[in-house]
Amino acid sequence: MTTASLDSELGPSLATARASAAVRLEGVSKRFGDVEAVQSLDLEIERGELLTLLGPSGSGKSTVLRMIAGLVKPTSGRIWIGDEEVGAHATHERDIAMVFQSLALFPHMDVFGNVAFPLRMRRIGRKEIARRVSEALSIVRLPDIDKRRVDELSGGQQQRVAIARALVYQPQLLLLDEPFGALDRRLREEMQLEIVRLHNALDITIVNVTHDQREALMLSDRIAVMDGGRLEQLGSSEAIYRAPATRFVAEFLGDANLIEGVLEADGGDVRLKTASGRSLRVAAAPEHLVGTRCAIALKSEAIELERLPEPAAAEGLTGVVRLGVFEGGARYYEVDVAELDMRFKLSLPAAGGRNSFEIGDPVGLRWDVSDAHLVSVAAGASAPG
Amino acid sequence: MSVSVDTKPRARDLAFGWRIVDVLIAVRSKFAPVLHGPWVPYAMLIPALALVGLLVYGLGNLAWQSFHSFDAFRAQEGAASLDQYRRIYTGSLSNHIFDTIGRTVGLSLAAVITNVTLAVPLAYFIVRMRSNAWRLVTLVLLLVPFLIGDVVRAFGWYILLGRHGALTWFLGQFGVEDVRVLGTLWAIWLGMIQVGLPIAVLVLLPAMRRIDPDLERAAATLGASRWKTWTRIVIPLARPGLASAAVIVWVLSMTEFAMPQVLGLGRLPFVANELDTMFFFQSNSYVGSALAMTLLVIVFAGLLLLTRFGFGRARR
Repeated sequence: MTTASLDSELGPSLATARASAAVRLEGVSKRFGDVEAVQSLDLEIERGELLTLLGPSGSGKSTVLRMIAGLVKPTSGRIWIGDEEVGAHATHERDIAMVFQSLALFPHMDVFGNVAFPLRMRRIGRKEIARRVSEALSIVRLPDIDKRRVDELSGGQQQRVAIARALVYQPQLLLLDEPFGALDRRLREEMQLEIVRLHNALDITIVNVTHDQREALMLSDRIAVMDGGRLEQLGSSEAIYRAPATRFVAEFLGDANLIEGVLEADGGDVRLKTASGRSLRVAAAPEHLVGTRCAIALKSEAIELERLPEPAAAEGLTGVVRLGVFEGGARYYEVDVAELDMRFKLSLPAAGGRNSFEIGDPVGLRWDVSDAHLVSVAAGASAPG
Repeated sequence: MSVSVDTKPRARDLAFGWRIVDVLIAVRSKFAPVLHGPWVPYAMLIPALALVGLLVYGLGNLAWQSFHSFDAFRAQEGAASLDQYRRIYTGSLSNHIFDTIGRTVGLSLAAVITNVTLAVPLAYFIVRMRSNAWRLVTLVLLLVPFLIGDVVRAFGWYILLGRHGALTWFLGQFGVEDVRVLGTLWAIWLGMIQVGLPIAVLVLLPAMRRIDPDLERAAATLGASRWKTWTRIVIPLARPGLASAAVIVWVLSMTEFAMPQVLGLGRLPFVANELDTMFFFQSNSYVGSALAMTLLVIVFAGLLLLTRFGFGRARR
């Protein structure tokens, strides 16, 4: 079995080096002219994990990836790959693989030539090349196409060839620079699952870059959310989704509704006081935030609607439905709440004709206090521009 | 916008130029239906056809003359014969003619090789240059001599390489005296680089631009050194451009006239210089035609070889 043999070949090297991180960045900065693309970034990527750098365009995530690859030279700071500080190493001397958004398949070579290229660069024998290429192509489930020209392949096949070319020499580290960005939705999801499958089978460290929060949540062991060249939050997919640390993270991952106010201690209870004077309960509040401006982040699926007039909603917030869209498994609503001068975005389960509201319906909003997560809106955690 | 009540402005209110425009517009609208007929695209071909026709006529004329005998004394065309070819290939002229052809072909091949070799890195750096300002400067430096006439350029080199020129002075600083470059093949070769290089670069630029820089980055991540990236990725992908550049330099070099005339001091004629002598000095266009036809055949043979090399294997 091909994956098994890859495992056994990777085994010893993993065992010896497991002690240290796969990639370590220490105070890495990059400046392009006047633009500070990456600002003093510290990041440690563990061996065997799939870490996603998530952020909007211009957040510096691609620059980080390119600095790891050696395609961009950091202005300051140091980078380790495995135990080695790679500042002095050119790209081709680093044991890495990268899949580009453009895929960058060599148009003047056939599929075999493309996949064999890194092996030829390593002066591996002809027979061994043939064996490894066919193995790599079977890992990405593309046997028997090695004589085809790359421009004769479908988009999905090209993706797989690019991945096979990156995996064929068993690099320490696989870097994915938004390779799924240009695909249509179905193919994209298929390829994302393919990456998860390969990651589980090959036990390789993968750093993925994307602006697609869905992809990040789906693929990653951990997510590093970036904005404006800085690391906003680093954590497991679930932690980042459930407990965003900043307003930016809350808004970027899952349509969060942010209710702003000042955090007040009310006896033993901590509550958020809005500008309209309403006092809202929060899930948990660190003491040091009391007295500061904060916001409650409510995911779009954490809020329930109830028809008015019915027994008053838990927090007593009422609004009017402004927009309703049927999305198959769910219904998407926008509800204006006059009191907070806010438009809430909601996603409600639609199974069995539930949660069917008309535009103009007065509704009450209700949520579980444990979902009312507190985020800081203090300086330094500004909204995305 | 001015609002005038008088709907019919007097003629002298309008500048004369505008009245011409009015007339043109009137004429055009009158003939509009005719101008949009189905024959219009064909009519637009006429100038091009006339030009090509003239060329074909000229070439036909050359071929005709080359295959007829000619009485130079009476300036009278004779019967169809191979006299002219016999004269240049077997007569007393033949040694000189073969020397000339050999020199032309040899130096043209040298020019193709040197120009393309120099043009590849030059075009690459112009395309990959980060600064737009520097790119512009480089292109201007490349193009200015290209836009200056052939003869002027030749005389520029003549001055540089001449007895009191910069080269003599420079070599004199190192105690090297009495180096003569003018009137040698080296001088002509130098001149042909000057002629061919800008064109080779210009032809290569679009081919280089088409190469996605991601391909080079990908090659680097896959373990290819700079040199390997260059030989395995950049050069093979630029090959159609290389072939075009080689073809153009070949044709230009084979028909070079000014450089051998000026920098070769006329001692080392190319075929074009020989044709000049035959047509205008000896006023014998018949024997000239035979040489011209020979040149044409050699140029086309070279074209065929170069295109086969350049485009043949690339489409695999």
